[in-house]
This record gives sequence, C-alpha cells and structure tokens, in this order.
Amino acid sequence: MPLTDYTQEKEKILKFLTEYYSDNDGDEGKIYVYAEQLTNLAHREQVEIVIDLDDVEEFDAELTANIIGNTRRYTQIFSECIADLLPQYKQREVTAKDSLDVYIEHRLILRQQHHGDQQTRDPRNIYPPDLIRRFEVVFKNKSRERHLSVREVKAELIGKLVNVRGIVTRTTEVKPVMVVATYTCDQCGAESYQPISSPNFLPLVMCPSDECVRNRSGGRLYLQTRGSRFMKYQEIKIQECNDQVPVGNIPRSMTVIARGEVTRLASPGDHVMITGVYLPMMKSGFKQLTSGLLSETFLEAHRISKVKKIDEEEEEELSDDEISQLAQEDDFYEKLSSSLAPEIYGHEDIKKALLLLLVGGVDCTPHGMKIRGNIHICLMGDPGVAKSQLLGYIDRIAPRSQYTTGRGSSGVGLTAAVMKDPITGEMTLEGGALVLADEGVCCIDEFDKMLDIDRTAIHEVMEQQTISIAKAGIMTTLNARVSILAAANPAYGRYNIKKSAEANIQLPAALLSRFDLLWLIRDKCDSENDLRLAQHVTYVHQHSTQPPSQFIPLSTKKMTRYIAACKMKQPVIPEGLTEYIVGCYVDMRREAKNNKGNQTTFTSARTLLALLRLSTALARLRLAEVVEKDDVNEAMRLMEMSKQSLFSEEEFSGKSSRPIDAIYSIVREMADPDTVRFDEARQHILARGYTPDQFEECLQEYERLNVWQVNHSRTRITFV
Amino acid sequence: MAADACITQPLSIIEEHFSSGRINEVPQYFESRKTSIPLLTDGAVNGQLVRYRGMVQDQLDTELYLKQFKIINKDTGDELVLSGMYKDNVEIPEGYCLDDDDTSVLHEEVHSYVIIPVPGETKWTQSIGGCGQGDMVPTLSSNMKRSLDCTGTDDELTTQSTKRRRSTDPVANGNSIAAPPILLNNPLPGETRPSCIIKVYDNEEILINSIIEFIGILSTGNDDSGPLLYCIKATPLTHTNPLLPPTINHQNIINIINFKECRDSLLDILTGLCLGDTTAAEYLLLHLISYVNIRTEVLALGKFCLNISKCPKDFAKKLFGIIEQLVTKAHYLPLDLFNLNSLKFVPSKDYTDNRLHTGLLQLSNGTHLIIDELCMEQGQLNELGVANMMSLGTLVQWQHVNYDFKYHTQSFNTDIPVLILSEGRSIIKADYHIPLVPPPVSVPSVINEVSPDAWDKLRVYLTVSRYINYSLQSDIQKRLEDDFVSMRRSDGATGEVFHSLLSLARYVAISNGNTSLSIEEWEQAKRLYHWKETRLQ
Repeated sequence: MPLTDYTQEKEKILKFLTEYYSDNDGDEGKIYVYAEQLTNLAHREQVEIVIDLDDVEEFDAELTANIIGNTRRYTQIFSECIADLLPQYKQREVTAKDSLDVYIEHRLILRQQHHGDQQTRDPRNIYPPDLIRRFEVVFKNKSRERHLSVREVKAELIGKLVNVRGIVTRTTEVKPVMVVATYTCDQCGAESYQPISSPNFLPLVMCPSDECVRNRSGGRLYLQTRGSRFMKYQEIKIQECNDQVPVGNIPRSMTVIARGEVTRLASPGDHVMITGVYLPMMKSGFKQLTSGLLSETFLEAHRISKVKKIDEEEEEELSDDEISQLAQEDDFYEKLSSSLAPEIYGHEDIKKALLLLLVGGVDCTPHGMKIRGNIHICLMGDPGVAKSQLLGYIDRIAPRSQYTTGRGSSGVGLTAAVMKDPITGEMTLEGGALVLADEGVCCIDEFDKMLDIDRTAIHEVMEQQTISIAKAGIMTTLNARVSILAAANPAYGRYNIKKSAEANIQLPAALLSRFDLLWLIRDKCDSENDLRLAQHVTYVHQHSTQPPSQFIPLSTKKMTRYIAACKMKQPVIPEGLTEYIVGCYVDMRREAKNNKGNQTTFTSARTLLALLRLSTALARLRLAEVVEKDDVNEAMRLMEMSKQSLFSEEEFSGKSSRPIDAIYSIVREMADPDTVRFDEARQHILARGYTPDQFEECLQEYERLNVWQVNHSRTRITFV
Repeated sequence: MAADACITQPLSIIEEHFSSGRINEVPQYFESRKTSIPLLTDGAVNGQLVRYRGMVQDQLDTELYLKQFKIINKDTGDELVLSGMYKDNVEIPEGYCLDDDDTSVLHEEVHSYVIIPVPGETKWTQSIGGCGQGDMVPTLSSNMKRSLDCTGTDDELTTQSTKRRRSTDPVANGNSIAAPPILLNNPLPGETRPSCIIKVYDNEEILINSIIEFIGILSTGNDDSGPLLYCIKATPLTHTNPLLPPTINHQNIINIINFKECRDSLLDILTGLCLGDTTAAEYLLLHLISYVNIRTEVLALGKFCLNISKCPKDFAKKLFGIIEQLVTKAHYLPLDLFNLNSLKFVPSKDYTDNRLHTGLLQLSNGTHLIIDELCMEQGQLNELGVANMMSLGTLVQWQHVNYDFKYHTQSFNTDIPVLILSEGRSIIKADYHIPLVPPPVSVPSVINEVSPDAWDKLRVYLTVSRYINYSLQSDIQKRLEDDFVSMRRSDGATGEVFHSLLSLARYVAISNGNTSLSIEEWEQAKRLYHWKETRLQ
C-alpha cells in the first residue's frame, strides 16, 4: 500500500476549497460554495462548515475515497487548510463574540509586542491550533450512500465514514468538554497549553518554560478556566428500528458522541440518520494496560438528521418504475386486495375495503373546516369468521398502528391519561392507543364489549380526528388522525336471522354513521364455496402457504411500499364529476326513504363524505391525480355491498325474488317517462352491486317479454 | 493426563494451534473432547474449560477485539504475532510493546450474550441433565441399536440412565456462583443456578430465547459482572431431554420407542388424573405433544391451547405435579389477582443499564405453561394486570409476545403450549375448551404402579413425537374435504372448526407414531371433537 502523500493531498484540498463552485440555477453564473462559507467563518458568523462529499467527488474521486477511508485524519487536514485560508478571507474587523475571542486576540497582540517584528514565527505555531480555531469541519456523506443498520456496522468499517439509521433511546445532558487546557505558572507567569483528545487527562504540574527550567524555581501550574477551550459534548444512544431487526434478535444499540454544533439535535424517541466515523473507544490509564483486547466502539457524529419513520427508506426492492408498472396491470386492484392476508379465504370485498382503509382518502380543509380523509371500517360477524386475523394482519402491515381490544382498554387508555410522576410530582400526559396511532390505523377488537362511556370517547376522534383533554389542570388537544378498524360480535353472540339487523348490531346510530363502511360477515352455507374453503384449509395445513393455483401474493414489504407510494398522491375530484356524485347521493337518499324498514343503513351527509373518501382512496390506489367515474362507481358498489351484507337473506329475497326483477324495478324507476339512457342505467345497476351479466340477462329477458326495447346502438332503453 | 491439560490449560492448547496456523481447528478440537469437560459449577476456576447450557436471554452490544496483532522488542527488534481470541488480556513479555505501524492488525467483532439457566427446566431433567447431555450419547446410541433390533422388548431402554440419575446428588446441582442481581435475570422465580455472560467470536447467529450448549473458557476476573465465558463452540439444541442424544434423526424415530404402548400407558395415567374422564385425558395427551408446526403471517398452525373447566380444587397442582414429571420444561402459574397485578409478564428494555429485563413470558420453545385459574378471585385489576392479561391473550391467540422497547414493541414468536385449568370457561379464549365430566364410578389412580423405567419411556415419547414428519396424503384429503362440506350443511361448522379438526387429527396420528393420517384416526378426531361439543351444550 503506497503511503498517501499528505502534502499533495493538502494542496488538492486547498484548491477544492477555493475553486469549487456550483452552477447557479439562475443566470448569475458560478457560486463558490465553500469560498463563501470561508468568508463567513473568518468573520465568526458561521461555526460549522459542511463539506459535501458529492462536491468533492465531482472534484476528485480519489480524494473522496481517501476521506471516507480515513475520516479523522482528513478532518484534521481540512481544518489546517481552512485555518491557513481564513486570513485571506477576512474582509473587515471582526467583533469579538465571547470571552475566548477576546482572550485569543489579546494573546496574539501580546505576543507581537513581546517579540516585535523581528520575530518571523507564526504565532499559530505556538498556540495549539485547537485553541485558536473557532470552526468545525464536518463531512456530509455521498447522497447515494446507503444507510446501514447498527448491526451492519462491522469491524472493517473502523475509522471510516458511515451512515447509520436508528431510533434515539437516550441522550445525556450537553456538557462542556475540555479541548485545550491552559495553565499559568505561579513563579514566572508563563502560559502553557495542553491539547486533550481523550476523555481523561493528567493535568500538567511543573512549569516547562525556559525561565523556570533554567532557574529551577519549580513553578507550579494552575489551570485557567477562562483561557481553556471547551466544546459542547453529548453522548447519544441509538438503537435499531424494528424493521431492521432480523427475527429472533434484540435490537442492537450504539453509542454516538456528538461535539459542538451537532449536539442537541435529537431527543429520545426520534428516528435519526447519523453520519459519523466509527471508532473504538480509547481507554486510558490502568484500564488501557490491563484490557487492551476488548474495546467498545462509538460513532463520532458529523451529521444528525431526524427522519420520519415512514418515508425514510429508499428500498431497492420496489422502485418507482415497478410501482407504476404495478398500477398499470389490469387486475392490480384485485391483486393488491387479495394479497392482504392471503391465508384467509374469500372475503374479497372486505379485503378491498381494508385496502382502501390503508391507503386512505384525501383530507380536505375548505375554509378552515377540516374534513377527514381517513376511512373507518367496522367489521361485524359471527365468531370464528377470521375478523381478528384480518385485524391482526392490518396491524402488521400498516406502517403505524395500534392493536387493542375493547374489553382491555378503558376510554382513558384509548385516548390519553394524565399521570403524576411519583418522584417530582409533575403532571404528564401519556398518549393512549389512539394518540400513538396518529397518522396510522387503530384496530379495536371486541368493539361491542366496550363500555358505552368509553365508546363515546371515540366519537370525537372519529370525526374531528383530535382528542381533547381537560383533566388535572391540563387542557389540551392532541392530534389523533387515525383510521379506526373495529371488529364486533353481533349482540346475541351469533347473528340471529329472526331479528332485525338493528337488533343484531346494537350500536348507537351516532357511532355507526361515523363508520364509512359497516360489514357484516355472515357464515353462510354454499356447498361449492364450502368445498373450496375446505381445500384451502387442508392445503394450508399441509404446505403452510395458500394453494398455488392462485396468483403469487405480493410480499408485505411490497404492499407497504406501494401503500406508501399511494399516500403521496392527492387526487382531486374534477368539476364534471361533482354532478354525478350528487346524483348518486340523491338516489341513495331516496332509496333510504323508500326503505324505511331499516335504520341501520341510515343515509346522511356523512354518507356523501364517505363516498368521496372512498373514491379518492380508489384514485390514490391507481396512483392517479384525478378521480374518475369508475372510482365513484366502485365506491358506490362497495357501499352497496356493505349495506347488503347487513340484511339477512330472507329479508333480501322478500324484497325482490330475483336479481333480474330487482334490476328491472330500478330501471323502471329511472325511466323519464318512458326512456332511460343505456349508460346511465348500466352504471346505476353496477353501482348497486349487480354484475354486468345479470344486467344483460335482465335486458334480454324483458325485451323478450316486450316490456322494453333497446335501440341498435345500445344507447337508449325505451319502455313499450 | 492429556485430557486434564485440555481442561485446565485450554489457552496453551489454543496458543499451540494459533502458532501453527490452525486456529480454525480449535472448536473442533475441544468439541471432540466434550464429554470430559465439566459443567460450570462452584468449583470451577479461572481459565479452565467448562460447559454451560442455557437460554439466550439478552444480546449485548458488540465489541471489538484484536484477532491478530504484532508486538516488537524495541531493543532486539524481535517480532511476535499474538491473538486476542478467547482471553481478556494478553501478557506482553518484558521489553516488548505494541507495534504501532502494524498493518496486519486484525480487528474483529465479538458478540456478548446473557445466558440464563433454561427457565422452567423440570427437576428430573436437571438431575439427569446435570451431568450433561453429552454423557448420555453412548448410552442411548446403544439403546437405539437395541431397539432397532427388537422393537417389541425395549424394556432395558434407559435403565442405565435411571441408575445414573439415582446416583447423582441433586444438591450438587444447586450450586451458585455469586452473581449480581442484574444477572439473575430469570423469568421464573426460584432459579438458583448461575447465569453468565458469553462472548462469541464467530459471526454465527444466536437467536434470543434459543437453548444453546456452550464450550468455553471461564473467566471470573471481572468482579462486576459475574462469570464470563469465552465461547469456543456454541451448539443450538432443539430439545433438552437428557434421555436422548442432542440430534434426533427423523427416520429412526418410530424405532426408538413403542408409540402405541407409551400412548396407552400415558393415557391411563392421565385418565386417572382426570378422575376417569377419558375424553379430557385424550385431549390432555394431545396437548402435551402439540407444538407450532407452521407459521405464516398471521397463523400459527398446530397450536393446541387447552382449557379444562369444571376442575375440582387443587386439581391444577396435582396435574402439574405429573406434567412436571413428564416434560422437560414446565411452569405452573397461579393466575390470581396478586400475581396478575404484580408480576411482570412481558420483557422490557431498560435503557439506563441497556439491558433487556426479562418477564415471565420469556420462555424457550416447548416450555409448557400451566395456568391455574382456579385461584382467581373477584377484584380490581391494575394497569399492569390489564397489560398482563392482554399479553396472555396474545400468546394464546397468536403465539407471540410483544416485548416492550419503550419506543416501540417488537413481537417475538413463541411456541409455548398453554394449559388453562378453570372452574367455568376461562377468561382467555383457548383453542380447545372441554369441561371435566368424571364418570360416576371413580377410576383408581395408576401413578404409583408406574415404574421408573416406564416414566423414562414416557419422557422420551413426549420429546420424540415432535420429530415426526407428518403429512396429509392426497387420498384422505378428499375425504376430509367432503366431510367438512357435509358438516357445514348439517351444523354450520366454520373454517375455524375445520382448522381445529385438522390439528386434532394431526396429533391423534402423531400420538400413534404415524406419519400420515388414517381414516380411523380421522374418525377418532371427529369423535373427540363431537364429544367436546356435546359437553359444551
């Protein structure tokens, strides 16, 4: 290995600092990034200078590699270079900022007076460089460099610049740490300096000045606090985020040491990205002698930046291209929805609804009024229909979620509690499940088992998406922008067909209307379906995966990634579509009116909002910017299906014996007075949850009966 | 004498290996001498070779060490290459010092783990296992040969091990090397055996809660952290039954013991315990051989959490007394208000000392948890109690425990068969619930008639049944599916019921020592299910 020629390197660095420029976006030409910063440093207007390794890379790739490989050394070299350059950038007299500035200035003047001009020695050579330098050099790693997890930082990275991602678990107070100790002699008055690089140091005792040594006066040294240089110092502990930990392992942690400007940048609980130098901890004194073999390690921080947990990782697994490719596939909607809990058989529509819940609708805030975009879903059903599994799956796949049961948590536990610290007596707020799930999903199992009083605590959360607390002198409003996914059993344990839907559900209408979709999962017999279910279950037992005849489900990682991509979109509803949506809503209202029998499917303005939310969520799912008519139709269909699931079969069949007849009556209603636009009728029918085949069948049958006629171009249905 | 040197002076042997460039052969060298290496006990001295078996409780931060470095003599210019493996310090000879310009210096990571004695290890396992699993290997391999020759008459099986057990003084195992309280991080109370910290040099993955046997060099020099082992060889164990060799070959299982015979005698014992209720005894037997065999995103198939209700008073303790005699790891948990409100169930990370503080549910796979709900009384649960109840529920329903890392939780998969004994239906929803219905005429207990050899056979039976490669044959699959469809039509059975039935059938077949399901066994599973259902109505 050829030894690096540091003088040559130094020249390179000097050249880089003075000559590097970036092109301005405007037309003003070049910007000398570092030269400008040097001017600021010279005037003490800036303390930290960040060297972006992307810039260095552009300038000299070899130098970048050297910096990354031996960062500590290069930090020193950069400091020396900058110190050399600074006098040239000084354009005006600098005002002293603190006592150390005054002190240094004073010493420099004194030194000049003492020796006059004959002395050609540079005063900086006498004072330790660390005492005089008032700037800090830090490196910013190349932007395409990957962020490692704590366990990926291995021994071969010692001394190198690395990026690490993690969660802060502990931070110490910021304390001053001595960098240069200054002493004065009680005999001769001479000053001595001692640069300190380790956590402990042995103070100087005897005066080393010529005068004292010559006279053997045995001058004692005394530490000068004001003349010494201190730096801010903080120790931080980071730990791996839970997505970085392999199964069956405890998250690893790492000590990070922050000095100067990088202190106080993070507090416990923050997700951070840290760029720093990986180093072994220096032991001193006796310990160094006895246990030279094992050493703890730490990261000397150069940069600390906070990140949001969700949008940080640049996974190579699913690039943007792949996402858009996925969105273009014909059956991506089906594919995505059936990738949710692939082990659970069937329930396609419910899975679709859950997918929409994960994606969420678009928030809107017209004139200061906030309308939530989060979708709430309530699953009801007989015991043993995999409700809890579905909840558990959503809990796992959602980037942020809380799982709780109605029985296990009181209203206080769900919202927030005011706690009294036993030692200090201080009152603190502790967030409950709903607060912790902010911007995520809160899964509440056994929703029906919850006490009414506790349930009312959820009302505010569901519509306003906030939690207000007025307790123990604390009055505050916390954000709880959550989607609620609730699971409940019917009132009698099993769904009682003989009772009405309302009697079976037994939840107050005020609460039910807040759910965008209510789903009743019934356990119905159907021999063909049953056989498929049986095959499915046996297959799972035998092979631990779902049967291969189905498509390969997307991995959870892909799903999360796709959902995250969907969430970035903010689709809008175009002007032209509003009329259509209003029309749909009016129809639904009319229907609800005609259908007085059931109060559960109560249609209100909230229904319209739900329709909008579902439509925007569907548009998001397509990664589109604009909501289309099909989105609205699918949203209508889902709402209709959810409504239908609430009626028992008998009730349903009582209303209309055959789907074909039902379709007929719907079309008849639309007739004005004798004609119906074909497209309109078709959309209407599909939105009610009928299949296109049933529609066609109906058309043909009634045409045969000579009830209506469809014109040749299939644009109009005319009643005879 | 050579063996002695290997135990007392392991470092000099390692140095020999190092200087001749065979450092990689060190683990192999010591492993081949495994049987003569003593277990970590009171008498062990600093620097000697010991064996230790335990559960990984916590993973500590990684440190660095010098795998290879050079020292030079400033005066003579002599150079020496040394290794920092397996020791805490190196004595540098007079006149030598570290070579600062050494480019061949090799830094490597060393991983530290906190190892605790296997939680819930039953007394019989400890007393036989105390002299080491490895010791049994010769005994058993000969036994296996014998049972291969004549499967019918394997009475002699494990006689030798029984003798050994009797001769072992159990008090000798109750040793204690003084350890600071933080190291006594045992999830279950009453543990007196030593814990230790182990430093592992190779990068092999050692998972939390796994049971591992270590061979290492003892260091008692560190006054602040109890005994420390420099690990030479770490072997993960899939079971801790001292009556069996550490690795079990799937092919030969059926020949090890007579399944039918064992099943019958075990059923007799359990029936006696269940006051003559054969159905409950049957369920109990299937529960004892159950384990999580398949795990997907949300499902843990094969779990067989059993709730026996209508239990008479002190039934739980009696039952535990027997189960403790049969399985290798078990814990009895009286679920009363005091325990719920005061015990810590879920492990949590403490960031002040950077350690994972254990909780009751930090158990290794296959530890039987017997929950006694009979002692529950009315009253108020505090915050901890609610959290504890929830974690028990999660364990039973999903077979995972969410460890508390303060800023987030992390779920760790478990395989802990849970048996709940209650008066009415348990608060925790078990997979199978059966009320105890003793016949009018009581059945005499057969426990006293069971010979020590028979006990050992049952112990082997329960461990070995886990290793059976069970699969559903395609011919019976059709039958199962048709049966399910007709069951759905007649009484609206759900998919869940079918899952339970398939697990039930699985264990019925395994308990007979079969690798696939027969029609009769399927019928029996259905019968068992039906009997249970009729009792519940």
